[in-house]
Amino acid sequence: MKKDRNPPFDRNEDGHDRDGSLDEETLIRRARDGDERAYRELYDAHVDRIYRLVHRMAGEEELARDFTQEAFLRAFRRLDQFRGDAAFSTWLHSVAVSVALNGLRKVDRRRERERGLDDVAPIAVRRSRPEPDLKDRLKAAVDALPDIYRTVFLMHDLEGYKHKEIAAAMDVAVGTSKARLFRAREKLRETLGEAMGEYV
Amino acid sequence: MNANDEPLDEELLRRLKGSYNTPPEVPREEMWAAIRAGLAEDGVETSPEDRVVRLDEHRRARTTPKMPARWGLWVTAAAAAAVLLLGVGLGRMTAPVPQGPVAATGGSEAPAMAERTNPGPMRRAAARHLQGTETFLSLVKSDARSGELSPEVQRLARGLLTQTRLFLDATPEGDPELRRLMEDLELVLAQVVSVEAGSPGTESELNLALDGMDRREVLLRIRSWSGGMAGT
Repeated sequence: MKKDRNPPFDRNEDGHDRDGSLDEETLIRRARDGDERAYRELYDAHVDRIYRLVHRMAGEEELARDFTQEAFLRAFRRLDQFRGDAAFSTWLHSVAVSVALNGLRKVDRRRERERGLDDVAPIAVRRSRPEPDLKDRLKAAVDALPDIYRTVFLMHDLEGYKHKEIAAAMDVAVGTSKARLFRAREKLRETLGEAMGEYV
Repeated sequence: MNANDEPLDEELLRRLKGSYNTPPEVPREEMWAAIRAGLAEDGVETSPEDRVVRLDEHRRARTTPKMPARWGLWVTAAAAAAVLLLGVGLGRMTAPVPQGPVAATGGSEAPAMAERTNPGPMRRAAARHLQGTETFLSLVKSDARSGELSPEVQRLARGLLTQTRLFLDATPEGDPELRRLMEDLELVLAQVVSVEAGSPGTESELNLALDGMDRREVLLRIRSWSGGMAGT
């Protein structure tokens, strides 16, 4: 089983690291035995990174919270299926990305339905919107990317994940991750042509 | 190299990092509470008391050829109740003890009496904890007779010691009986935790802890306190 944290020489024979915490393999074994402290330690070790990524994807605190909770619960419920071929962090990220993408699709479908209802409102009551500022245009451009491109872009360019990590989290080849980032940047350059000129 | 292989402009990326769905502070405890509740709903036994029940059940099944159906049901019900009571109780145990007319009419025992006649979630959780600990201590006695301390029993002792300290912190000053009981329990559990399993002195260390427990009549007081709660 791959370790996310300390190498073996940092641990005592009972699985405790020198600082008194447990190594991940021991934590997973204990969590499988129903040890709540092990669940909590696993949660503490990974929650910040997972929440950051999921919030980047969802853009709303409530959704980010729901997706993060669901990702941990799903991972904990399926701990028996974790074989240890990859690091726990990699496996957890793949669960979290899947939960977030599926959740966002559901939210999009619901909002589409709601927007459909709004569209029947009389034209007379619609107000013209002011021209969006650059920040809004940047956000709109990233939002408009297809999910699979946007996720790679967010993970790589905003959160600093490596292609290997992204590929594992999205269950694709490293080459696919690179190609998606290429496409994401290409689309952003197209969409933001003028806006980019204002920044550069 | 194609232009799209290159990162976006540095300034643009900096602005995006700072403005695009920027994560706020992680609501760590709030999310953990929801995850913990989800695990409990699934029947994941996450409290030391539940694991005591499970170990006790396992040992009984091993030593008793046929467990009476009623006992099996009781164990299942107790495990389910523990999840509920501890979840609710621990979540609320920081709530202040109601003061006012009751406290004003009596001495220092008055708040405890008021709680006893109308036990709050914290006292119900404490009762469940004490019952679990009572079962656990009989497991320790059984280990002491064999002169060995199983690793699982020692692990449970650590969990129960942590829980006992939590209850000790949460027990109001106006409830001296429960406070003294938790203090004595803490001492016994700390002694069990410190026993060096597998060493030549295991048996004598265990017996020392159990002698102290008998001297302080810990089991008797747990039963008496729990009996008082059951009678309300």
